[in-house]
Amino acid sequence: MILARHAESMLWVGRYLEKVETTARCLECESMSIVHLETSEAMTELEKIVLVLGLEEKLPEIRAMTNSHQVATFLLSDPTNAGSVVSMAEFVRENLRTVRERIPIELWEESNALHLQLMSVRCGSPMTFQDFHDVFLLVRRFCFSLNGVLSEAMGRDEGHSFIVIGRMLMRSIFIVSLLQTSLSDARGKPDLTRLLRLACSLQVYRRRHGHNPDPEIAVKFLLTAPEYPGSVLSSLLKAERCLNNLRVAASAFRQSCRHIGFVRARLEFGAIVSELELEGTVAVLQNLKAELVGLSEDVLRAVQPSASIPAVRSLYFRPGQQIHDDETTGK
Amino acid sequence: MTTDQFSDSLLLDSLGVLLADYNPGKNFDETFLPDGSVRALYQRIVECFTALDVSEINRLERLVDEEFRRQGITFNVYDDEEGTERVWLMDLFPRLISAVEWGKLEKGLSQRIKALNYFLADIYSGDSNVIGDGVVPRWMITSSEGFQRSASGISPTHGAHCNIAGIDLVRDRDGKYRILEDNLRNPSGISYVVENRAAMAKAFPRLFNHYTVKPVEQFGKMMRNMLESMTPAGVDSPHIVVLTPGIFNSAYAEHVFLARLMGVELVEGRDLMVDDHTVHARTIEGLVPVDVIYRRVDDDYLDPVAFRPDSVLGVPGLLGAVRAGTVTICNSIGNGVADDKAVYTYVPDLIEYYLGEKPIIDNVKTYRMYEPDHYEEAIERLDGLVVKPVAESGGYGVLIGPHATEQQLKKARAAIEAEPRNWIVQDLVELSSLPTLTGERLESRHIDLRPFVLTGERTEVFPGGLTRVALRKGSLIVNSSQGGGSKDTWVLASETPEKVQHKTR
Repeated sequence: MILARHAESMLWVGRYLEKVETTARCLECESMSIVHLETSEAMTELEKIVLVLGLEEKLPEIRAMTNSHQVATFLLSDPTNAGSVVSMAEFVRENLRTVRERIPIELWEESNALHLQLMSVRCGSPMTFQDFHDVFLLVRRFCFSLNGVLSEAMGRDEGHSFIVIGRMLMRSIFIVSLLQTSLSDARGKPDLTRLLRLACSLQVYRRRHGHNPDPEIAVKFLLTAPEYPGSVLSSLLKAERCLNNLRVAASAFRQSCRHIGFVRARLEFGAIVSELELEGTVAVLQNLKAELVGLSEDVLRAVQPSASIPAVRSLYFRPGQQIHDDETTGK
Repeated sequence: MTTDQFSDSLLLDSLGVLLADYNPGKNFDETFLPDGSVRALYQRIVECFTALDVSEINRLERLVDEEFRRQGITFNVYDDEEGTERVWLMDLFPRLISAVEWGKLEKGLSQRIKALNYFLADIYSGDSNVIGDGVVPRWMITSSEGFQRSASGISPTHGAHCNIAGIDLVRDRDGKYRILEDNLRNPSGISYVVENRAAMAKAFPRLFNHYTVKPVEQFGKMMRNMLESMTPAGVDSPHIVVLTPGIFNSAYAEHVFLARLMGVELVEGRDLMVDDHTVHARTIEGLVPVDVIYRRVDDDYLDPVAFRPDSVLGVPGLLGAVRAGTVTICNSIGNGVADDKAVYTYVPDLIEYYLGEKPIIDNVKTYRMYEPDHYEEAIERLDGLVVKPVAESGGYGVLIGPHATEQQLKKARAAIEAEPRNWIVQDLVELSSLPTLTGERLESRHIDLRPFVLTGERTEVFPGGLTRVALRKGSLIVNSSQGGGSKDTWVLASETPEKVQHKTR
């Protein structure tokens, strides 16, 4: 049994955790690759990352900036940017704080330790190149240790399931966005090495497909490779398993289970890959992203099955008066 | 044989740099006798400390501070410029209470809480014999801010209105324990008792080698057993929750700690709803009935239907559910009347009235300012007394006469004259003191003690308590919100002081 509010917090913990890790990784990769570029080119590359991270509404702000250092700082440590690494790490902590009694002590301690270290980043002087890498290292270690605690110290209860669902759905949306943005680059052939590095899959890809990435193979790999834990299929399988466990206890997730099963099956049994050939990659990815976003919203809605129930009914109903079950449970 | 007869082996003058400037003062010092020799109880502690150099002690202090910071053991201070979340402060020099001393305290505290529970049951049951028999005047009860008319008729399981109480004790110049005030609504601090011990055991384990200290880890079990015993009739396996106002409450870290320690859910008002006079938790599986609520939300905010209508922290309809007997709220509604500082002056009479016994622990001498003879006795010598508003807590509004300006005293006199019911005046107790680390030295600082008493089917005193210390030199205000810190409190197990002494030789 888990409170609806706790379930929602756990879901957001998972989503923010994934975003912290992804944003930091993307920025780290980009900060290394843009050092050789002209300012305008560097800015264009960073704008693409902004799109991948789903921060489209921040584009006007970013375009007003004069150099890539400003953009990187904005994405890394600007407290006014809700999508910055530091802000999102703070959101992880805030959400964990509301469920502190449910989570392993180590999970809270790690999150609190990161918060304390990042506070000094926020309060400090303007960041240097070295500072960036110190923060990336800090965040990476934080994510590793949090993953370890989640995997080894947390019971496989509903709370754990919600964190996993939040993370996996966010991960699958990120991969599809990354593919979509990279493949729709108007300047020509996409940089597949960079793409795979941003997806943290370069090493796995090379072991399987060698050193010369082919766009078609890379897309299929990122969407469906079962051996790569970041692929959309792997992520959906994990999320589906967790949702199925929840469905036993809470029928509010029936719709989400059906939805995720449908998308996963289309990936697993080749329907989406066939569509890629027939309808064109960008259009299919666009549809897939919309489906994943819809799925995410489905889960968020299902988390609050009793939210629509008024705060009190005893004032309006006599004691002992029967109320229909569907009203009581809000289903 | 007393503990002090063993005190000839260590003298303050010979204790090196750490205690070089130590001045026990004129108050009762827990560690040193007036002649500068160490009390037997503290001999090994003092030896351990003086054997360390300053850098080692500072390292241990940092260790404790980092531990609290890392774990997020904090308390919130409202309207504070430094930010709301502050790390809990614990001083490394522990407070010791011998088994004999503790035995007396245990009896005295149990006696007091039993009488206060009888009192609450009496006034809220409708009988109000205590009024009819002329022990406490009716107007005293009905004019108390903590009195809740709407709680009349509520009769909790076992008649236990106050399930967890924190009683503030001080030691006067003769070392005699006295009750300073009762906290029967939402006493906080119990989590810090357990956290302090854990931090101390990590930072300074060798200090425990010389003493057998009563453990404190069992608090969660004691508390849960107590709450289970409060289950409404007809429920076999109760669903217990802790109700918190939320993450911005000053004691949120404690609420989390208690929920985790007991293995129950920490809920907010918005997680609960009342349907058909039954409280339900909103879960992903729908609504699940709740049987026992350990609430950390004040009466006024508990139910917007019955109390403050603007409250968003409470649960609409909760009072109705309590009345229907489908849920138990711990502590019960309306306990504030019994820890009103004016009603406090009647507690010795209540003990005699309900239990037929003399109080084992006396109150601090207190003047009721609405009684002409008390007023006459106190009003012109406020500069040597302590003035307290009856309805405040956390040390707010307290005026320490000797530390006050003429202007402040004048203002206090005027306030008392205008509303005598709202003020009490107490004799100034020079709180006892204990060595406390202040950078490179151990200096004397004033302390108090808040032990916790649990009442369900029976009344139990939790072995230990929160020792609060005024970190500012000479200050008598120990509250954490006003610059106070804390100390680990060791209640020694069955060992007598003689055995402790034997161990040291």
